[in-house]
Amino acid sequence: MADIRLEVPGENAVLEVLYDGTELYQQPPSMSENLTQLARKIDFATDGEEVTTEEKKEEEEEEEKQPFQQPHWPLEEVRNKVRQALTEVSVLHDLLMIVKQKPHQYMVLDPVQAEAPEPKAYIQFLSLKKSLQSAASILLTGGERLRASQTDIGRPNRPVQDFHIELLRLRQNWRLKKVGNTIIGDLSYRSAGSMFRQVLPQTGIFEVSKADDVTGPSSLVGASGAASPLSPMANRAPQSSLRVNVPTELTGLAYIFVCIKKDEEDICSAQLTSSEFVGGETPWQQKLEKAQNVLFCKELFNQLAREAVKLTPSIPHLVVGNQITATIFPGIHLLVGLCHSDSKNGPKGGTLPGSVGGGGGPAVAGGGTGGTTVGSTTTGGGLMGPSKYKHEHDLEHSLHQLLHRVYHNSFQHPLPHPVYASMGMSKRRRAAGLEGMDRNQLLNMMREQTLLEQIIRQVQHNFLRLRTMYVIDQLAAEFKDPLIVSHWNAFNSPTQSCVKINIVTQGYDSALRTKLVIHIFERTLKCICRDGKIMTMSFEPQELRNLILCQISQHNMAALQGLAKYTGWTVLSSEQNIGTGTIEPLGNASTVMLASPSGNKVIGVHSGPHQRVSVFVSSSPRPDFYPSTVVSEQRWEHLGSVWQEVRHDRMEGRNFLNKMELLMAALTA
Amino acid sequence: MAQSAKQPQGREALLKSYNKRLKDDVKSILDNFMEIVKLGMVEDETQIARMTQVEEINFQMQVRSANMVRAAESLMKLVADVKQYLILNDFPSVNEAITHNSTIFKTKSLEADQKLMALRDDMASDLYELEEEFYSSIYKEK
Repeated sequence: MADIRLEVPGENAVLEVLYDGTELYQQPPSMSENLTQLARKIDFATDGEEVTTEEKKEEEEEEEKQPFQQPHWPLEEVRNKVRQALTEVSVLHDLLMIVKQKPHQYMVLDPVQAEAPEPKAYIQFLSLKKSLQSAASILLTGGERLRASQTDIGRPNRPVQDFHIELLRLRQNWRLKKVGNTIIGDLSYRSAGSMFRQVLPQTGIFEVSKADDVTGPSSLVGASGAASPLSPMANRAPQSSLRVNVPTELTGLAYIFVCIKKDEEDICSAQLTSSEFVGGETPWQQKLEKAQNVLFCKELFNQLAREAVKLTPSIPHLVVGNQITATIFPGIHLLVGLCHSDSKNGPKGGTLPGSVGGGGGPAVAGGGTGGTTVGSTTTGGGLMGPSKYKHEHDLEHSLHQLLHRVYHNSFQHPLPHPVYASMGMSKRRRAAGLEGMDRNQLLNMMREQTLLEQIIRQVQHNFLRLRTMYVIDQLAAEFKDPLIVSHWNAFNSPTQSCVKINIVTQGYDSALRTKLVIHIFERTLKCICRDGKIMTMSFEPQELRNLILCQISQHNMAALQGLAKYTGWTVLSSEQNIGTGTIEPLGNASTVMLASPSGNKVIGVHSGPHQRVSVFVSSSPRPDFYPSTVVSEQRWEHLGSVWQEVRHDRMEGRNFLNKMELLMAALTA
Repeated sequence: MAQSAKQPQGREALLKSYNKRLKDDVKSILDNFMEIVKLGMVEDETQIARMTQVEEINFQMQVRSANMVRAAESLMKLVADVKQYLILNDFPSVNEAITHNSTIFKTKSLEADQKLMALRDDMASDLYELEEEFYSSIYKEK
């Protein structure tokens, strides 16, 4: 083998080639430069063996990249590296000294631990599997819960009804809206035309919430345990999932108590209590209806109380606590009270001391009778009221009707309605400007009857009707002879009714039938008699009584004349208002004289409204005629004898006319 | 006007929020599921210790699955909310119900009126007879 000597080429590196082809060579480095370059290449930090070729390359590249920095003197780098090596060796020496120190104070040498063995992969798999299992179980339980809740909804006959279905039903019947997270409902009649604003604007508001599932089944169990065995169906009834929270002032039961009182003394002592107390666990519909009823009653009472204070009749109305007392006739009072029982103060009246806005007017009168009020409302028996005060259901109904009508009128305006006119004006008022009405006319037009006035009118009429009925029945029971038959008209209005009275004698209906019609208004009676006379009477019962007594008396006389026609007797005279005889306390007595067909017997009948009928008889050839010095001739015996009274109450016969017929027959025979 | 303009705006926002809730929940379910699947991958080289990693994965999976359940329940809640919203704001159906109810009640009231009138007529005629008899009888004492 031939030795190949590697040498540095003798030529220097070409630095630049000029355009004319001349090459400029790099000057070879001097001796010192060469040494520096070689010394720089020595790396004291490496062993030489471990340095990979790649690192070397990188270093070379770096070196090439970095511009060659000229050291200050040739072996500077060598010096630096040697110094660094010295530092490291010193540190190592110090360290070894510390380690070698006995006892070990600062540092101990430990054997190097062997590298941890490679973890087994299956542990990782197992743990992953476990994690996935736990995740799956969580998902499954969650899914199961969802499924359970869903199947619960779809299943019929389940214990709890669906919240949304119930909510839908509630929404269809009540006004609901969502405020924030709660569902708020409105109980008030505002949308129906009510203008009722209480002190708190949220009075008619209730809250709808979802009944807790926890309480649902437990209460169901409690209910089924407590329910009577007679009602197994009740247990199966689904539990409501709706809960309705009604404000406390609207809970319970309320009604308007209306009664008519006669006693003067204890005006304020009527106790208004109610035993009907509604428990908390009622279906929401009933609960809401009751609450609405409470609200309605409160509004009604409030309105009435306001009107009672505002109105100024001759006898002022009394507003005390939860009662309004109005005088309808002298000695007769109308009592309107608000009965409200709620959970707070139990079943008793007078729960609304503050609801009556202005009790200021009659406060003096109320103070005077307040003692009796307090004293008499202590019974806990829970009666609706004292038995002597009868609750007038029809009047309560009328009150409700009146307020409903107010609602109705506030929204219903008569049509057609011009577009330019404001709503709620009546047709007359729209025309008022055109017709140039003055203030009085306008005021008259605007005046409306208040609820209290209307109800008082109705009560007056009611009372007057009952009293008329009573008077007529009393008279009918009192007088058997001419029968008094009354027929009440079925067509009547709250303030007007009508009764037809027939006065007949039994068995002699065809002879005569005295008819009269009485119209009953609020404070007056109008009587239309048989002869067309119209009489207007006041509410005093005595006037009606007198009138009927007069009619009975007249009936007797007229019937007797009718009978005379049938029997052939002649009416000699008939006088309606006779001036002689004892003076009647009221009206006038009347007389009738009848002559027998042959003319030899004469019957005289005298009757007055307050006197019993008296009958006299005289015969024409007087049996006891004795000629005297003055009347000497025999012919004067035909003048008629002295009147002899017939004791007709001892006579046979069913009634007056029957007796008279028998008497006539006896005298004719 | 401002009120009426405000109202639809609030409604629009509410509907949008429902939409957003729906999307968020569905996305949450999907994301969590994806993450769980990703966690199922075995990784060799990690910075943290093996046991820590195992615990972390376990815990993460539990949390993510619980998140999925929560999102599903949130969807149910959303359904309930939408139902409630529909029930409370579905005015056409409410109007229909009101009309239906009012027709029913009007019919009932008409029926009751007719029956009452018939009853009244019957009673009036009977009462006439009865009054006639009563006042002609001797049993009138109160």
